[in-house]
Amino acid sequence: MIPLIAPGWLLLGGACLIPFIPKGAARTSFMLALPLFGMGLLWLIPDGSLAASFGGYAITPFRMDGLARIFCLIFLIATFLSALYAWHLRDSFQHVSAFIYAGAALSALTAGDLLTLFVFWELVSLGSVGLIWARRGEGAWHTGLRYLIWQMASGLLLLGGALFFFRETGSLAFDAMTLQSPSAWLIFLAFGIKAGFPLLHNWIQDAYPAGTITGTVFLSCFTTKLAIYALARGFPATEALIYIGVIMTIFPIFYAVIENDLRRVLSYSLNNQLGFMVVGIGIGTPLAINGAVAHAFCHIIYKSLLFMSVGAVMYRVGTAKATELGGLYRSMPLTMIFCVIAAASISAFPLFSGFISKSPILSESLGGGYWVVWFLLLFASAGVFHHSGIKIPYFTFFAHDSGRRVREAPMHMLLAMGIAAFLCVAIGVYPQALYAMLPFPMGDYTAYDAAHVIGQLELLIFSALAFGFLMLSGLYPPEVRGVNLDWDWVYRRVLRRAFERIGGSVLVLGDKVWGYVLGVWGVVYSVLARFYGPGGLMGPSRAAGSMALWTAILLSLALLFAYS
Amino acid sequence: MMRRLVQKLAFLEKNPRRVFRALAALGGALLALDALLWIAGVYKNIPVWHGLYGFVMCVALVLGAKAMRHIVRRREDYYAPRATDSEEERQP
Repeated sequence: MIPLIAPGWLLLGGACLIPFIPKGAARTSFMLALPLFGMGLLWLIPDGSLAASFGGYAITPFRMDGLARIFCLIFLIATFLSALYAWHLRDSFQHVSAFIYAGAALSALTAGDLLTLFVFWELVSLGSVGLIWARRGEGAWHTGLRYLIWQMASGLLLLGGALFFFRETGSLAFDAMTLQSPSAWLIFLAFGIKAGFPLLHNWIQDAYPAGTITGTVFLSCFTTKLAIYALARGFPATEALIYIGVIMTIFPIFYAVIENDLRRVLSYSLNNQLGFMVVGIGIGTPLAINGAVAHAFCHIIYKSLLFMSVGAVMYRVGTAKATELGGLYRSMPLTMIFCVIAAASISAFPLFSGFISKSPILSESLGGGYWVVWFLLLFASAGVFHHSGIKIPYFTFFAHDSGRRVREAPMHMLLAMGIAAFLCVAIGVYPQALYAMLPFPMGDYTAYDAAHVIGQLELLIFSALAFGFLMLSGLYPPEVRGVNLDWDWVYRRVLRRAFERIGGSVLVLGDKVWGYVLGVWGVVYSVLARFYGPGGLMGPSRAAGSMALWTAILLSLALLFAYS
Repeated sequence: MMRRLVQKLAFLEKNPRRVFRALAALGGALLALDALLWIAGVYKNIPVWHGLYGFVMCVALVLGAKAMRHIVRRREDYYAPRATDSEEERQP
């Protein structure tokens, strides 16, 4: 039996009620209760689907299975933690946006057909952009618009793909497909935009650092992981994904090393982590898919924890720029500890969550004979440790002392970070609990064998040594203020300038044409005025008042003759 | 407890070479363990491979990124006013 209220629909309904609940403890408690109640529903909902008809089309607005269930669970956990982190917030716009966003993402996870998926896919975009615009200011407005254009482009591709798919197959069912038809390519690209495929990725690094402190925590959880879910559902074992994923793991780490804005460093790092998941989906074996799903699960927790810790620093200090930070372990030791736990998790240290989720992907790339891929993933792993594992905690809490002495993060933020940190360690220490929830059986797989543990520790310790060597020798590039040009430079600067020039030329041309038109009209007018103007040959020579007087006199005479 | 932790971290902050030497010692111990396990036939990993690869690639990554920065870096207000890069960041 499928309950009437799915977890996503519950959150969407809750989002509509939020404005009517007084701000403060009542509203925040309500927002915390929603995901908890959603988890209860998730517990009760059995596997199955709900069929319906819409405009003559057979649709499946709700479907629950192993893949959807684990993503729903982590989305609900993330909603709870993000709402707890945002306890202090009194902004209705952000509250509603965040819950529409989370609810739409959850509803998209349980969509069994492409049309339903499209509806919630777009709602995800509309809800999430509010978390950027809520920052307010011209920069946030423009950034939000760019973000929305990318998200809407993804939605349009999905809609186009769904319609073509229906024409090809007569069905809208959202299941595994192959890249052998235009419709599949359109859907693949739609998912690719949201998943941050190379050259389609810049909206992540553009928008996430521009979000509000609490909004970016929400943003880091849902959109990209929804795309990972969609790829796992729609395109498992698609070989192209392996190579796309590898590129995704490599190029962001170079940018992350030189980036000054720590939330943008985390955004590049997020892109890199998505690459690991995409590779897992591309390999497509049950173990690799499990690895990708487990990695998404763990990633949502440790990445949101990283954004929370940097956000807490931003909340207290007022900036997330590495050049302005340093030495904060004195003022914010608990935040520092949580940040280090998240850093250890994303770096895949043994006994932390990233280790148990990344290992299956690396194992399967090696087992599948993808040697080059494995080499590059190892490089990317070392790079992750370098920029997220070391750079984020080091430049925030250590490095040079910025001299800033602030208060520790507020209690609710510490609580949210504490729960997330606990989960990072708990999953790392006892991975069987997570493995048991994955869509395929894990068999006797264990991440904790001597080869994995020693190899990974070696990789990380020597990466840390490389960092130490570069710092002590002065070769490490100092943090400097500035922006780094990425692919978005093409459309934010080059194309913009080109359009402005073309537009400018059109305007100049338009002005000239308008000038000619006005000139011709002037000649015509002067000729007409000469004949029909006041004193003209054909025109009245009297003023309007005298004309009215004459009209009145003539009408009076007419009346007089008529009735005489 | 936090105060003691902060004091210890302050000590390490003032002595970065000690941290580096401790890391180097740990790395050396791991390499030795790796080699021993390989000799004992516990696994077939190429010994010390991960360590060397991690070190070399991290140095290459940082130097590569450093070179890249000469090409890609611009002023913070490069995209202003249509970006938040140079805006005040303090938020409620």
